[in-house]
Amino acid sequence: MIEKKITLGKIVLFIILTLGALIILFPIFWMVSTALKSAPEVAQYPPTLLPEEPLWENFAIAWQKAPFTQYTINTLIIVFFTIIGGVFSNSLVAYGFAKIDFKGKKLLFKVVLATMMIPGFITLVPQYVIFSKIGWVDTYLPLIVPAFCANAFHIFMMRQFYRTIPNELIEAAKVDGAGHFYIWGKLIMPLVKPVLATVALINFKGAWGDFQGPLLYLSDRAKYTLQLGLQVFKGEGYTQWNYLMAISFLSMIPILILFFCFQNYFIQGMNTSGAVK
Amino acid sequence: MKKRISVLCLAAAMILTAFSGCSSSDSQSSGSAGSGSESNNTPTETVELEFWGWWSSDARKPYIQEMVDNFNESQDQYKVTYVDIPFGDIFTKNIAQIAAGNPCDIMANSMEEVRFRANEDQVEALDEYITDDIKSYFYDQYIDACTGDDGVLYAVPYSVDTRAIYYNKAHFEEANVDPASIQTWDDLIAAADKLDQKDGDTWTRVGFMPVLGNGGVDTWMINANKGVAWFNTETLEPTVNSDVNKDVLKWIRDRIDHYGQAEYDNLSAAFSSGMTDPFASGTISMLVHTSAYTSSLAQTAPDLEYGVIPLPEYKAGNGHTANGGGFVLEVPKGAKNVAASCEFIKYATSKDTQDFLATKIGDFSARNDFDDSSEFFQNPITQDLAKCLEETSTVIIPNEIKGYTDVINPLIEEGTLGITDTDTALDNAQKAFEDFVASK
Amino acid sequence: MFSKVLGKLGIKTNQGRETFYGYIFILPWLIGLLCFTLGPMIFSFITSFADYNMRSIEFTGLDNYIYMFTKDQLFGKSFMNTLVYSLMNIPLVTIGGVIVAVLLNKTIFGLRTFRTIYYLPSIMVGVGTYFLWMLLLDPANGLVNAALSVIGIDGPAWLTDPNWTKPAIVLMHLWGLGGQMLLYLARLQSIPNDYYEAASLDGANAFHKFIKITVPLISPIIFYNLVIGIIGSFQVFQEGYIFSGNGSGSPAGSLLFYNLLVWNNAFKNFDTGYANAMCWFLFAVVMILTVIVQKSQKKWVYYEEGDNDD
Repeated sequence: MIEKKITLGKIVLFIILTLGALIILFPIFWMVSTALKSAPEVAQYPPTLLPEEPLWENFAIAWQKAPFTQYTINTLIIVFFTIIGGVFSNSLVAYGFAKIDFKGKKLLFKVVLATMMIPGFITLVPQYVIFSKIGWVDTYLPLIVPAFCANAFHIFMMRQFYRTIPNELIEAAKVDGAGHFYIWGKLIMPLVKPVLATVALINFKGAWGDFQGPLLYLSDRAKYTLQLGLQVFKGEGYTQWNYLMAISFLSMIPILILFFCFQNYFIQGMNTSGAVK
Repeated sequence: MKKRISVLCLAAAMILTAFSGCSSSDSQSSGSAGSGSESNNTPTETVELEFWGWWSSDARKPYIQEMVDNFNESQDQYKVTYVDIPFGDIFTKNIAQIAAGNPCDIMANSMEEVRFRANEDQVEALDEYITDDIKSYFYDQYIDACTGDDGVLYAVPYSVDTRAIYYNKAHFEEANVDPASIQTWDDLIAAADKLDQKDGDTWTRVGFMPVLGNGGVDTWMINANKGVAWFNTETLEPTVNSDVNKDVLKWIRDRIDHYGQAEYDNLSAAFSSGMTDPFASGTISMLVHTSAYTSSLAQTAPDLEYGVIPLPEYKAGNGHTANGGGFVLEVPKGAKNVAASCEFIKYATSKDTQDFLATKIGDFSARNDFDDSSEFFQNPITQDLAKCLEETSTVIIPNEIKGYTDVINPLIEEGTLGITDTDTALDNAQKAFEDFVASK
Repeated sequence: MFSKVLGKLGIKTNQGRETFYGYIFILPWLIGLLCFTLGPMIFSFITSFADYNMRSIEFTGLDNYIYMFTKDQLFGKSFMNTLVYSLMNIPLVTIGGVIVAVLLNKTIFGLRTFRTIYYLPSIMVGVGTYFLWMLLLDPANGLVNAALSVIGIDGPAWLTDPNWTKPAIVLMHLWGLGGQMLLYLARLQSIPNDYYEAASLDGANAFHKFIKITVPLISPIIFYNLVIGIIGSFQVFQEGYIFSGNGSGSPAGSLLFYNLLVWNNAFKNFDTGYANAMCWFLFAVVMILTVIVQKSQKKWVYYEEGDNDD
């Protein structure tokens, strides 16, 4: 009796989720469909749902239009350092704000929150001037170094997670003579691995998809990133949508695979309550 | 644990130094200011110059690149690199670089706002290098647009454009419309009515809708007013709700009503998505667009047979005035080698180069020393567009009232979209313009 | 490593040690603040009282602020546009995120795939996505209106009708709520099953359990997303810039968001001083809203450690 009820509920749930999934997938389907069309067919009005004849070679042609292999490597370099810097610095700073009681903490955390609220345009030009004066323009440093200085949004997010970890855990460790670095590294970090993974993922996404930063700071074509490379398809008054969509789709795949494989890591239980018991 | 952290810090520090190390050597060799090439074999130091534009499509970029390469080969003093940066973002990056005191050397920009940028001290004066004899090879109106309020030249015209009506030849033949017969707005509507096709309640072919493509309310206002429509060019007083303007906006709205708001919404959305093109697909028969539209049609509808006619006259004898603009080459404020930059600008705007660009890309030149012998002018479409160019008005907004369009356009658009009555929309815009002038 | 330093500094009290360690932990952020953020902030604050165009500066006192509040016809319009959009966007995306997370927290066939699919939109970056949505929102041939017509609704002209442009953007954001969902999911997974089992024994139904157990336990994340949502919504820019085609905020100024006006002033009109003044006003508004949410936190956000006082 009970089992049957569960099954029925699950079927309904399954149908709802499937419908939702179809809606979500449609734009991506359109993306691929556009990628496979010829230029005149893309412009056709009303648009066609499926390409008359799928041009699979579009993917290869698009990849040849710019040194995309080089751009991918460049992007990966930036992504790599951004993730290392982001995970390390944010978890450290967030621990400080969540679990250490120090003078001026409240005020400084308000500053953290305040820096999140600063409209980006305010700092855009002055920051550029600073990086320019220290000779970092046209290097990856302006894109990487700030990641090592933590990010207000991520500090805030990680702190929210840290705060759900009972203080007793830390107090008990302190009684045992552990210092903060030990508690942070050995006790807390393992507990918040999923959050660390999430921060890593967000950093990956951010660095992978960043357009404004590389655009502003990189000039040498050999240093371009994928997102900058995509601009090769965007002309004035005319865009090569099929190629743009082809590369956009390809550039999504790494994050997709990453997420699919490690999703348990991102969302697995933090087991904080388990640790208490 | 402590040990591990210090190791980590050390590693991070090493990586950073490694990065800054390789970066500094990189920036030396590719510095935009042109610190000279590293190889000391050449006796004279080559000046490296960066040329920024947003032209990145296959239809343009390869030819611009070729032009730049030709320049580099023609002499060994300067080496220009073309960098394409997306439109919009190019301005953000340029301003950041100007603020940092290290901008690019040559930049493409819009002709309509040279005077404004000069006034805001964003561009270098070029008078010293672009002498009067060079200037004399360009049409006066374009040189005028490149001249600041102080009478100094701040840019050199690179290409100009105009607007015309593109028509679908097959539709015209089928509906038995002679393109030459479209001389006035009334003729235009008469032709459109013949071209219209309806299946029940849905339009299967739209003859002509005025504010689609690259034609806006401005296009028709300028056409009817034979130039500036929104203010008096002498006194700078707003004239938004003049009788002519009210008549024009009502005409536009009537035309949209003829097809229905829904049809306008559909077609307008199709154009703005940037992907689909109802003219290329034969859904609409006539469309206002710039002279640059030919290169995009070559990609999206290579088989389409189309022709070009000038914008018709508001009333017989009023003239076929079209609104157009253009692009210039200029030197951002603070660039290190203005003289060298001007050498490239002179090359890019020379007769031969302009002929090359026109033939390959299809852009019109602002130079006055072309004759019909150029290959470019052999194309019949080009010949028709060239006629439109002769009646083109390039509106330069005076610095005193710069920014007024941001204030009045949304209000006028309410009229176009039928949210407010067209007369009221223009009255509102007039009031807003007056308030704007008062607040300056 | 640090105990020697502490000794040298003469820090002996427990509080002193905590403060010392506190600053060591937040050092990366402090360095970033001092090197990259503080200077630009101060600079922009000062220039907000000046006529400044990156080239020359002339102090004009409160003129920028006076012009903003009394004379700029676009300021009020852009602010209202942003406010209306935020009031739609924040609640809908938050509620949507929670619901999807709860649904995806069940055990069901194909869960892994579902989670990946629902997360997928949030990794679609770049302007291509916006243009895809312009096609989806096409009044005649777009999928959205096609789907609506199936259930008998005649869909609006999303991006050409000034009344529907903001809902269109909210719709696009609902599609991309996977990022938020992931955070809720991470928190939901850490809720022990015994909580729900105990509630079931007390006869609570699914809705009760959701309200009494789920919501309080994920409230820290809701709080986080709310704050982020306020900050993000008020700074909406890209959507308005791309959907209006030319950054003008058309149709009829309905997409002229606050930050779009800032961008136009700073990078098209070279009116950086004024743009900075606008930024600081926005900063103040967002700050006040965040403080209000922060104060309300005591009433509804549940932390296991029990201290809600900041």
